[in-house]
Amino acid sequence: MVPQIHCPYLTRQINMDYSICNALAYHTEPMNSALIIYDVACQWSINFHRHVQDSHFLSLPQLTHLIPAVGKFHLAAHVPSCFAKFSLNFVQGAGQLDGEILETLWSEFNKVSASAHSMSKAHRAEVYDDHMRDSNWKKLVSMGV
Amino acid sequence: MEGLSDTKAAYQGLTDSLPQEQIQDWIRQEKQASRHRGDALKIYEVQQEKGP
Repeated sequence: MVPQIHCPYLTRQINMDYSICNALAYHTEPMNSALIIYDVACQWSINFHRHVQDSHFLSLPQLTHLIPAVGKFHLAAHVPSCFAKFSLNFVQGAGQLDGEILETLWSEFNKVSASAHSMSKAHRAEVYDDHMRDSNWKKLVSMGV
Repeated sequence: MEGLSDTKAAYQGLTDSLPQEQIQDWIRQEKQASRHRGDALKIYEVQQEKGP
């Protein structure tokens, strides 16, 4: 079970703290450890536990062990000292993950932008949603083919 | 996994040519790194001695 968070405009850590606390509370009852793969986990993880402790609005479920890591795509752009600490290579049981699931759609969406750029915000959101669902559907029906 | 059977003999040869204590020490470090993480993971960094 992998809850995914995608917020291209929200780069403040408080937004990430909130999103991650909620993702970790989502059907994680019997689990005692979690792997958090985030583009800048190296910076974010430094103060995460302190933020949760100091906040009235944040809480963590009974997860004893949180492992912060950086996906393949972003780790290559980090300073060398991030590699050993945050590479998925050194997390037992972890797969090889780039963590760019949604971004891979962007190049396909360039074709949609021609018709979407003159639309109102609401209209455009609906059109993009439709295209995303279509893409998901195509992936689903071609699994294992 | 592709290539695993070809490289296994070479890997075994490399392991056999090393002193037992060295291998035990690496295994201990590896276990410690996966348990404690953080700075314990520095064993995977490139070790370089600085010139004088």
